[in-house]
Amino acid sequence: MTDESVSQAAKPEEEYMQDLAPRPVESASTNSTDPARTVIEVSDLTVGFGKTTIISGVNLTLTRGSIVALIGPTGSGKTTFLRSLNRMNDKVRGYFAGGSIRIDDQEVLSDHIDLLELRRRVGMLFQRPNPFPMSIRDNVLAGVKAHGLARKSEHDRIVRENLERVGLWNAVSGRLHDSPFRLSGGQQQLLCLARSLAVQPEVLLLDEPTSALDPISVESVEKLLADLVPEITFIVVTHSLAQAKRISDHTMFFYDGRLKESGPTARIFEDPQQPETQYYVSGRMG
Amino acid sequence: MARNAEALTRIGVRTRRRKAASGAAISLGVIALALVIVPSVWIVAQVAFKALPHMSWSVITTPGVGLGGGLQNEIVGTLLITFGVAVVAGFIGVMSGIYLSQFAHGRAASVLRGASEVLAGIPSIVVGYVGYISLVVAFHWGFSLGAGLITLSVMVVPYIAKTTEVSLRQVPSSYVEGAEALGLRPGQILRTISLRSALPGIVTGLIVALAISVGETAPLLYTAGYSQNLPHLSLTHSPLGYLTYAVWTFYNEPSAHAVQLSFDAAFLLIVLVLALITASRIVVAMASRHRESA
Repeated sequence: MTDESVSQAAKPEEEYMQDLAPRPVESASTNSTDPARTVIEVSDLTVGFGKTTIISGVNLTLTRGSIVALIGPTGSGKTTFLRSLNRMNDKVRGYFAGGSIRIDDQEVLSDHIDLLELRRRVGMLFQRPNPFPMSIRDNVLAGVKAHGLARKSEHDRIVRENLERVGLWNAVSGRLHDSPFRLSGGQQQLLCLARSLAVQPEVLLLDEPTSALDPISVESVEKLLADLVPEITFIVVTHSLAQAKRISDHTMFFYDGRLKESGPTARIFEDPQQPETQYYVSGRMG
Repeated sequence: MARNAEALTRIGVRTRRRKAASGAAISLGVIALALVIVPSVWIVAQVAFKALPHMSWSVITTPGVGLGGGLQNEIVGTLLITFGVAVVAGFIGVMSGIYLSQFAHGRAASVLRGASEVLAGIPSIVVGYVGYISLVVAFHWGFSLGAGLITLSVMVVPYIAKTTEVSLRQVPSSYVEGAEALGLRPGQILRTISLRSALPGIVTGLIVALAISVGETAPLLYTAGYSQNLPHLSLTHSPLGYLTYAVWTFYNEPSAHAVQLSFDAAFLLIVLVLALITASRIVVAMASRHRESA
């Protein structure tokens, strides 16, 4: 790998980043000790199913209001880690977890946590758009109604607000009562994002959110994340190194169930410390 | 040149063979289709031809008198029994289906499923006989609406439970996962996502089950008895008429009018079943508005 190839590849992305809404760049580091800016703190996390340990010994601190990319080869534990953060692994047979995950100083792995409230605060967007089989309007309101977040008289406003936030309002305002499955894949994913935003999450977990979308939709989703980021912390699993470079402030490289290396995205891509990271970010290891 | 011509012939042979195979497959398909359509059209037409010339409002509006009169008591009886089955079997069947698909694990699930399959395999006349010795005799209910509709319900519950379970299992897991990630309670997920998207399947199963129960004779002979009076709304000691009784019994009576009534009853049964099927289609169409395949 040469530095040259990386910086060349990075150039167009830099221009692209400038198009996005400028946001205060506080050179937040993963080692930041300012507790007010820490949203998630993971220590010595081990997760597995049955007799197999998937991830072990993961320690990390995530800064509020940033975009964090999780990269790594298939089977490295990125998705398992992501799904541990909102306890979506609970129903998988044989699931076990050790260590600690604290979100806003609340222990996620505790038996006493209010799982529903956790999932309201820590939302999730999946690889394939999964709108519910109900009207577009009801999709946006599904979480709002379930959590009793707003009175009925406010529903119209909430629908409009969240569809506007994801840039879908103009496209769907005339057919709010139609099926969401007539929308394009990209629009469906935006609708799912609007549905997640409507319950006012602090953190959104994105599991390869754009891998099933066309390039134009990918761009609009990425732009949106950049717009939303001061309010919401995004943790994005991605197989696209270019995407990780484009959108994230921090990059975490998972390898073989361990967090091999993490740091500011630019440093991970330009000056990786570990040999595995070097191999991976230079595209020599899938 | 020669080789070219040879190749062309070979292609010609292959094309002809392919066309022959395709033609044979299509013919078989047409024959199979005919075997399904012809008998059903034949039966409906036969019954309609025999029934319609004598059909009059009085058949529907007057109860039976001896071997004459009309079919009002049977019509009301069938509707009452069917409604009762819809309520009793519908409730128990849908609940069992929900339990089997969402909550049942391990031994409890396999025992319940096995029992349900055994029940579905029991001949209707045996179910009728068990209904007779338990409800009619042991419980002292006598021939009655209650005994009839519970016996029929026992017959169709496994069917409703199975279709409900299968429909709920077919709900894409991505819906459920999305709902879980949004922090919906299990009950909310079941109500607003799973049941809603399984509704067309559940309703279809329910209505087919009702159509089956509308056409049953044997279990009712044992449990509902027969009466020419209009049924009264009492669950016990209330023998009542039903259309299948008329079809089955009147046909063998010496009176021409009774035989006519038998065909009228058959015709009304077919109309009732067609109405049920139409209703299910409408419900499915309405419930499918927001489905993925729409």
